[in-house]
Amino acid sequence: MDFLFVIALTVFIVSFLTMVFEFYDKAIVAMGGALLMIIFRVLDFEEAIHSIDFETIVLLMGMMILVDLASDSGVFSWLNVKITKVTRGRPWMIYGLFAVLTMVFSAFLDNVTTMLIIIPIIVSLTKGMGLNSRFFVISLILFSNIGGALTLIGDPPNIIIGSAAKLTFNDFIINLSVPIFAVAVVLGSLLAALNWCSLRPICGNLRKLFVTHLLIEKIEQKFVQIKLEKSFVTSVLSILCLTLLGFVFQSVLNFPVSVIAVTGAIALLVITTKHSSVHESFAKIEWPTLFFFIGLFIMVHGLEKVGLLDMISHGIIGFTDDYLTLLLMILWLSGIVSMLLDNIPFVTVMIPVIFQIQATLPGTVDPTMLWWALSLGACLGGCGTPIGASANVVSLGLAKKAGVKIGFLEYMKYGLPLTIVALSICSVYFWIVI
Amino acid sequence: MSYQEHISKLFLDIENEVGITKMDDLVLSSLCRAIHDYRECSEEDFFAQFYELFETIKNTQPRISLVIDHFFHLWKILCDAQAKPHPEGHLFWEKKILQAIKGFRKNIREEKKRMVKSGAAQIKNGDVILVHSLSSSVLDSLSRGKRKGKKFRVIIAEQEVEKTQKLIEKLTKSRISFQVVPEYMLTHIEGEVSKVFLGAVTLNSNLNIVGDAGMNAVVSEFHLRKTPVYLFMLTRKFSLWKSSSSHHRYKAKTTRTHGYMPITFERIKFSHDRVPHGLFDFFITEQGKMTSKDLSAEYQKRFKEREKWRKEFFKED
Repeated sequence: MDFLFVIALTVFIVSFLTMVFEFYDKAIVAMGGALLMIIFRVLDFEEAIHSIDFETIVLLMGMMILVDLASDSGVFSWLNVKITKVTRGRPWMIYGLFAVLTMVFSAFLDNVTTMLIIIPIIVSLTKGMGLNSRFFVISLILFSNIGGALTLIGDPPNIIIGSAAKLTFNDFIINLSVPIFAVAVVLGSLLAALNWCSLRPICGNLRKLFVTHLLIEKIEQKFVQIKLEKSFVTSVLSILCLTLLGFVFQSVLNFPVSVIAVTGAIALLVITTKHSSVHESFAKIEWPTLFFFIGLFIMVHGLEKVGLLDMISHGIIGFTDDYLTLLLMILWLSGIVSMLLDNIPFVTVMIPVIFQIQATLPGTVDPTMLWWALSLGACLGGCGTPIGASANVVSLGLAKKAGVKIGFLEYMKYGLPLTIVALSICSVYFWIVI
Repeated sequence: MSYQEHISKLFLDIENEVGITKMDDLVLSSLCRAIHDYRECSEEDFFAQFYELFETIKNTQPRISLVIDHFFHLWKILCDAQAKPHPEGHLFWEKKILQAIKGFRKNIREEKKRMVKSGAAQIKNGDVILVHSLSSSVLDSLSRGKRKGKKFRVIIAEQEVEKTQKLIEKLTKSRISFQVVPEYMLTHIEGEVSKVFLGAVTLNSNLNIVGDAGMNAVVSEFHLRKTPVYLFMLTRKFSLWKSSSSHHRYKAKTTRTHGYMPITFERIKFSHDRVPHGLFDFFITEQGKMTSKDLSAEYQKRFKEREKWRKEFFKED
């Protein structure tokens, strides 16, 4: 074992543990780790710069600008309130419609933004109605993670995978829609069955009906105080639709998804000059997240250069010859790791490993299946614990602020078994398609 | 939190957000929807559940007279129903109630229109009008005055941030020029003010006007200066029951921390003020401009009528 190998491994492990135990902000840790890789000459500066996957960085940046401007227009809050009205306070309808809304929002926006929009309304409504708010919050967290797994832009692991493996927006939807919808239906039904008491109709209780309708009126007053500006909303919706169409027709346009996202963001900034400020929009970009990714890409390249990732991939290949077992190993390993740790560093490390595994596969198997196993494991694994995904942490924080405290174990009571069910469904899917 | 406390809190939150008249409208539309969605066939069940709801509405803290008044009328319809059962069962009485609610909402709109017309007529060219409460009647009167070409200016006595912001939004929307002065600094501009326009929650049996917290100080100050103080209120808002000292005042205690010193302290806030009606010069109601004597007579008349009802329908003494 040479000196550079030991240095690279030590830097990565120390950085990883520092991120896990949150001693410092993970952006500082990742950038610090990357810097140490350069200082100890694991990588030179040129190599470090080349190792950054700018497609991922630019795609994230473009989506951050788009989502931020779209949220500013108030259109998502408006839609949320309209859906609340449509439910007319029927608990099963609140559950069903908000589950679908959360999945759709999470598939096309980032999960944290989705939960920032949805959780305050759902807590306010269910708490006011005397329903079990904890059940609704936990369910929506699960649906947010499930929805995010469906598209290339839904969850950061998918952005990293799509960009590295040159997979298109449509590839994700075509290959993941069956397992994702199966997981959504099964988990949704299980959750409903386990909490049937909270979903019972209230149509025979005049007092409950009255307070529910009054709450809906209050929510409408509280959350849609600012009237939507027609021109702003039209611009936002048009550009969002065009950007999504751009993703869908990416192979025809022959542009990377990052270029399509940034085109959408810049077009929206130009069109909405009256309603938005470029300085504010750029300031709202989550720069720490982007620098976290940059640092991570450099560190992982350092590990790759010293041969550590080769060793991991050979270890995985040596473990089994059976492709299904290999897929299930990646699915469950990424699922379990994502339950406990941040799934972004894990997926970043796994990208070169998967490439190396693919290089050894026989021509008779579909090598892209490995990406879907990694994506499903990393995204769905996040459902397992309160710290499995950023959206979980943010949602539980928002719920607590609104007076609904959900403990670690209370979350795990639903999260862990249902994640195991979700990963089992994915396993069955791989067993069928192989 | 009990259902009773929950409804009280909900009422208070909505009142703070939109004011009493709009709140009443929201309550009525919520009741309409609740009755529409109600699916229980037995007539007795419906009456029993409506009565439970009415009891809750009657006992909110603070009690909202406009809402209670409407529920009183609705309960009267149901009392008639119990006396003369209908073959269609509760569906018939549901329809009757929905019709009545529709009628209330229409009446309130018309009464408010009349009150606004009368309020706008009080504005003269060159007036400097002080406003304090978040009252849709006052704001609509000012807007009407502006539309009628009256040249006047408004001073907002700054109170709770959210209420003041809403006043600012509404005046800006109506293109009425205004300035904002903190309510504890009004002495510095009191000479400029020619009229004070205020809204209120209710008039109680002690003939005290209940309004936004801070109103007592504003009214007292301008009463001393003999600046005419106008109060805008529908007579439906009268509290037609014997009031106690706790009615219409909700006290909230919070613990706060000093901005930059490690000091925590208790902060007490009150939801409303009570002001003797004699301190107001004029009352603008749906019946037009009234003096405090007229208002007092109108109140006594209505109180007696309601007392008769209470004895008839609730067997109360």
